[in-house]
Amino acid sequence: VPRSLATVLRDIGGILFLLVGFTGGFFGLGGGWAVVPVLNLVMTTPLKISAASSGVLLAMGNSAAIWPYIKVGALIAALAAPWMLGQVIGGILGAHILARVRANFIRYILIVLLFLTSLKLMSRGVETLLGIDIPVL
Amino acid sequence: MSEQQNPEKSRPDIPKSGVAYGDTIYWGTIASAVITILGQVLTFLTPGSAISPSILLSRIWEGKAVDGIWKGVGVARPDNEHWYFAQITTGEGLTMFGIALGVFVVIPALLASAWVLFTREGRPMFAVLAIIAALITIASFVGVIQMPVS
Repeated sequence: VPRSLATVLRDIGGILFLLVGFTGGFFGLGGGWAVVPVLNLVMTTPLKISAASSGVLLAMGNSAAIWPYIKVGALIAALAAPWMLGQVIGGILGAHILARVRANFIRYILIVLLFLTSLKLMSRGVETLLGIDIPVL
Repeated sequence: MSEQQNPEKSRPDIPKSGVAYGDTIYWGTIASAVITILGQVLTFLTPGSAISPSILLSRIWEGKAVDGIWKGVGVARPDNEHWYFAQITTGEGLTMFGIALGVFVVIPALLASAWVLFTREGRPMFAVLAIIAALITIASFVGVIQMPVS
C-alpha cells in the first residue's frame, strides 16, 4: 500500500475508532463487532491480526471507562465474576485456536457472528422504539 | 535459499513492546482471576458476611437502580471510592478487588510497553501515545474522570 494511501486509511480508521469508542461507552455495546471490520476492511490489516488486536484495543478503551462504575457500586461483583472468569478462560482458548486456524475460516465465522449481532442489535432497537417484544431475537 | 525453503528467515520479529504489554496483561489477568475465584469461594463459605450478595442479586433482578440495589445490603453504597479495600475480608469485597486488579493491570502494561518503545525500539511517537492512554486510565482510576450514575 502506498505511503500516502496508508496515511489516509490510518486517519479514516482513527475517526472510525472514535465512533466505535463512543458507541461502546454510550450504549455499552463493547465494540468488538466494529473494531475488527475497521481494522480489516478500512486499515487493510490482515484478519488474524485484526481479531487479535481488537481484544487489546477494547481492553485499553474499556479499562478507562469502567472505573467510574466500579467506584460508585454500579458493578456488582457477584454478577460480574462468572462473566469475567468465563471471558478469561475463553479468551486464552480463543487466542490459542486463532493462531492455528486458517484466516478464511475465521472470516466465515466472523461474517456469521456479525450478521447475528446486527440482527440482535436491530431487534433491540426496534423493541425499544416501538415498545414491542420480538420473539426469538 | 528461497523464502519457501527457509520460512524462519521471512518471519518478522515480534515487537518487544507488544511482548511487554502482552506478558503484563496475561499474568495480571491470571492473578486477578485467581483472586476473583477466591472471593467467590469466600462468599459461599461466609453466608453471613457484611455484604450480602443474595440481596444484591435479588435487587438487580427486581430492576432497581444502583441506590436501590445497595439499600439494606449491609454497607452504604460506595461514593466514588475504592470501597473493596475496606471490605476485602468479605467475599464480595475480595471478588471486586480481583476484578479491579484485572482492570488496573492495563496501566502498568501500557507503561511497560511505552518504556520498551522509548528505550529498545526507538519509536517515541507510539510511546507517547501509550503514555497518554495510561494517563487517561490513571485519571479515571483516581477519580478525575467521573460519571453520574444513578
